[in-house]
Amino acid sequence: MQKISNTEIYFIENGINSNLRADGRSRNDYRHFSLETGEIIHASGSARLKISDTEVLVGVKAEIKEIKNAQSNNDKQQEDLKRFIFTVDCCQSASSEFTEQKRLDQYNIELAKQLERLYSHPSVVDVDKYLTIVPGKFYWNLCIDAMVLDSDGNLLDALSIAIRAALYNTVLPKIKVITSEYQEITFEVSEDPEDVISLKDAIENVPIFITLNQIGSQSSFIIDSTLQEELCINSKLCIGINQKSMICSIQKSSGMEGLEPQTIIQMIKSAKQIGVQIISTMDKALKLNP
Amino acid sequence: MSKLSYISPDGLRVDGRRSNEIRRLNIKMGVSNRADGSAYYEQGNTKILVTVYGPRESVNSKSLYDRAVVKCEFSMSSFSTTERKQRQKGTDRQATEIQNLIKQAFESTVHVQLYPRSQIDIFVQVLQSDGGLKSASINACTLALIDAGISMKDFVCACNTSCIDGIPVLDLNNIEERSGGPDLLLSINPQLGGVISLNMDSKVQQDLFESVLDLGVKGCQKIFTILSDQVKRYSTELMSNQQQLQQS
Repeated sequence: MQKISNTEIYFIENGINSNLRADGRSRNDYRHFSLETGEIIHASGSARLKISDTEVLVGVKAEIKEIKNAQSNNDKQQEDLKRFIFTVDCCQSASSEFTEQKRLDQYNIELAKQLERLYSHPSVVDVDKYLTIVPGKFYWNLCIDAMVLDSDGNLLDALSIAIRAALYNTVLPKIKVITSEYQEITFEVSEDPEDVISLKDAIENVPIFITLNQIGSQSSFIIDSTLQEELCINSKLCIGINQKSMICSIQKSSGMEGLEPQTIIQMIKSAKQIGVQIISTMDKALKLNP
Repeated sequence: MSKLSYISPDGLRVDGRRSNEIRRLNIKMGVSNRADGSAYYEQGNTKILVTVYGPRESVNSKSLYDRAVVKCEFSMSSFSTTERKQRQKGTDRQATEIQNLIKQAFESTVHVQLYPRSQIDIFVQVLQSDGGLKSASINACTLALIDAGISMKDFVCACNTSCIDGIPVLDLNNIEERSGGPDLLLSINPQLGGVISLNMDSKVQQDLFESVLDLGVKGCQKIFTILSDQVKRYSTELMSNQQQLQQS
């Protein structure tokens, strides 16, 4: 596990208090990032995101899911309503923190759950329009598998941006439903590779995470933290923001200290600004390179 | 459905190659800043990322007093194959087999006696799989170990060959691997000339085996020329960078 000395903490905290971080950024600066889509041809959609040394690769695979009977118990119904399945896999080589298998598994699940909470709301993607094959019976399930190839902080934000780009890149084959005499349903998959449903327009409401880390004094917080900065975080607030600068989720993960409500309001304000900026730049770039 | 013909009358395979051609290689070395050595290796649609850490102190006290231990961790992403498959670590038999294969191949080629009481960790991550996983992994590991500056006797170059309809073919992709022909995995030390590993699991006439083996060796040599070219180019680049730094 990575460790940090008291003097280093002092250096980082003081820097942040005077709005200058170790790499020359101010508190609200994001690092440059690069995004590539469509690299994995075996997946329905994919994206690779690099923020400095942080590198994540997301693949989306579509599966047809059948819902057997609607009157099953509640737990099952809940399970049936999920259109997204998330897994996160941090490579052991990505960080010295990941060498212990048990901790790694826990961390993977934690990240996947956080993403699932953000994206599982029905308003995120219009299920009826894009993911329904036969209403009440057959749906597209999207398995979103994320891989962390290298880590230099700010993983959750990176994952959410990559997932948004991967969904933009996702295409589903068009399916013709044929109902035979005995109510048996068979599918005919269109063989024309051009004849597909793209999720391009569906990602309008898909949010991304902005993580705000409070370091040093109560009112000073930073975005896009590096690995070093993450080691001296007092508390952490993850905010899901969509294109219309609406808040989709707020998660305060357990940290060393509590947050004052006043600070939370400030954090939300800056998260809104930054989130909308990132989404609009990202959309512009994605539209230029289809 | 009619039986798929793997080789057309013109002698072309499903992806348009001739029987003695390998797929296009795309290689990048030094892709990770954190690791001691790393390589990104693309052979056709098979994409692999290898990172090497070490030689470093052994984590658990299984070190040997007179030489280094090579460890290998192999994992596949769940979107790497056409069908999504969630793999459990530790119980995946295919992964364990490849780990052992790589470990054995490199314990015999790395100068392990130069690094006593230490271990060399190799992490193989498959991003996309389209046949020839084992051979591609071995080639990628060679590059990553070279990037890490670990002393080796020679390259290890691997190639898989098979025989479809009586014709020996080189470097099979996923479709061809399922043809049911004898799949021969061959890895050699191209300069010293030793065979590191040879796996074949099918019955084959001896004269046919000889021609398949012959083609395999040729394939490995072909891969070797590409790899060594790349290594030379990469190291000249590094050296020129260093010279520029010294001058400025």
